[in-house]
Amino acid sequence: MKNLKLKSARAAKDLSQQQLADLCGVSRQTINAIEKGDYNPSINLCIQICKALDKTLDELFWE
Amino acid sequence: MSSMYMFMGIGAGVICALIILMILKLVRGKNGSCKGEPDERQERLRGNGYKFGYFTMLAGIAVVLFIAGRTNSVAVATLGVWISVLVSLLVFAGYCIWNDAYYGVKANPRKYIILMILITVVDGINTYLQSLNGWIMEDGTLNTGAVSMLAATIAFGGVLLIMLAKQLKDRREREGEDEES
Repeated sequence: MKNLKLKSARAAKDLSQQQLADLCGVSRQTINAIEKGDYNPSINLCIQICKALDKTLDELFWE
Repeated sequence: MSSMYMFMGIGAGVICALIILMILKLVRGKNGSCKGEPDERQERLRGNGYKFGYFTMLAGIAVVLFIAGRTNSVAVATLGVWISVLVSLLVFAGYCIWNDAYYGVKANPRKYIILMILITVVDGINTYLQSLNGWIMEDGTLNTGAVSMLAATIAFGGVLLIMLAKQLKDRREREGEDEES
């Protein structure tokens, strides 16, 4: 299932996938896979993404 | 005579060490840090790739043993095992490259592509040199040197092609992302 909340939060911050990936220390393809719903990130990575986007886990990853 | 071989051996060792250092310098960052560190998704996919490669090699060796047992040919067994190893390498590398798990997080794929071009060209030259003696030896057996080098050239050339195709796919994906935003 696509993670549209993550995609819109990233777009709201005007970040590209590569920029968000650099902030989180992962590859661009990993961010792309999370947004497309192809990969379930670990809780540590979820927290890193939330910190980079100034969001909470609930806002980005809770359905 | 023996001292000449000794010096040739030392020379070959020094050349090998220099080549390894050059490759390490190409792959590592300016401050010596390794840029090939994978992230969590890449680690998982590399594990899958390793598994697929391993089982491919087991299956290949089983087929080779079956054929070698029927033909009683040492050349077939040797070449078969070598080709099995190369095919398993191709499966591992191909799977990892296509799933974005081959290069580390901040690694530059171009360096790997240049390295693979060099390896493929060197293997191609070696194949040509080995094939000058002919593909079939005078006693009717296969020229194992030439065939094994040809197999290596095809395998590394295959990895190179997958790398290039993946680069093209990534570029289109990035362009698509730019258009969306």
